[in-house]
Amino acid sequence: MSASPTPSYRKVRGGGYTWKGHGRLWLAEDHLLEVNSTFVIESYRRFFFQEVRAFVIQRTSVRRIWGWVFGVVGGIAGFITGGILWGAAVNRHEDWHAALYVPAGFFGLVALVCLVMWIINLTLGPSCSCQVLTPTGWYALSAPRRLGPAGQAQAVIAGVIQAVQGPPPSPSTPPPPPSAVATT
Amino acid sequence: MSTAAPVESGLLTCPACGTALGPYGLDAANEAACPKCHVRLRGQLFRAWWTPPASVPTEKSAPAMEGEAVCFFHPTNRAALPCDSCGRFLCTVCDMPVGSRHLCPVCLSKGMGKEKLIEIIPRRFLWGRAAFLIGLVPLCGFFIFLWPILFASGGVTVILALIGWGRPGSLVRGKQRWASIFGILFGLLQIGISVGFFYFIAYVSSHNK
Repeated sequence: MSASPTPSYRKVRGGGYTWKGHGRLWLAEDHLLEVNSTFVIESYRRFFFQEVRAFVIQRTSVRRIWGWVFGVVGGIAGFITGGILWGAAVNRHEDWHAALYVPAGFFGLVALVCLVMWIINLTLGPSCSCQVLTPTGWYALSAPRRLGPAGQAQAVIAGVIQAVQGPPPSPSTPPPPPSAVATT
Repeated sequence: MSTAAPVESGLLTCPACGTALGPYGLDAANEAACPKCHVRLRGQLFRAWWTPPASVPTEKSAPAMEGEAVCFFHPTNRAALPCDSCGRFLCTVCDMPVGSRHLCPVCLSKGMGKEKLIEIIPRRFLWGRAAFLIGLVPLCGFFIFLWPILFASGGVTVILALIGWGRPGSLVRGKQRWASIFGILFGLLQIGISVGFFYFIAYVSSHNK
């Protein structure tokens, strides 16, 4: 059989890290491609526009959790750094006081990294999880993981899906009966 | 792939807890809370939610009448469409929709075996990036003292890069030849360092005697 032509993909803004690696969404002509990359292996999942029933952004508490982790670890490291520096300053006439600058430097570096990560986590905005509803159920996407890029991704993806499926019926249209279970 | 339970057409459920939401409980711009788990959701429904898929595969296909085209695999069934790859006529039983294409079972199995069908490739090993990684990591800091094995890892790096040169790369980013090229360069550098250390030690030991 002849090989199918390689579709051209368009990157959707917003990535995200999960236990499956770095995730990103790409748009093809007829489907949404989710790519999870672990540097040497890329795994793919496809959602064909014709089958997508809903796109939902669900708020998560990931940003709050990371905020607490970076805050607590950074705070403890900063407190230890301050204590060591204070101890070195108090005992500056002792011979061994210079040795205290090594752990102070280590804990200071940890505190600085945590502070930078805490600021980055804060500025990236609220965290979220994007979900796609297909005839076989809900699928959680690995990207985007922040609300800002997710909103933009939703606008882009919704536009493409509506171009394929057509506009949704007017709000007065009653929902279909929950009877026919679709199988794919 | 993690899947939830199959969703009945027309029933909108909360993706977090599975509670049934109102038919218009989603808004694209404003968040709404799930009545049970209170997760804040926003999003939108598409036309497919109102219209269940029409092309659900059926076990029985329509029997062919006199003079009608018949399925290649089921001569008693009426042909519904041709295979997009080989052109054989297919009934609705043999029709295998793959994305926007319709294939026969033979073409589908051939495409699955040799990764010819881009639409169903589940994953790819990126040879070039593997060569880049194995080429770069041993050269970094702590690993340089492992110079005796740099010869082997350098050789592996070059072999991986050469194997990957002709293999398909990332589906979305292409072959990424830069990774293979850097992999070869790093691999040669590792071999060079290893040989250099060996000659250096041999030179030092011969002058000490």
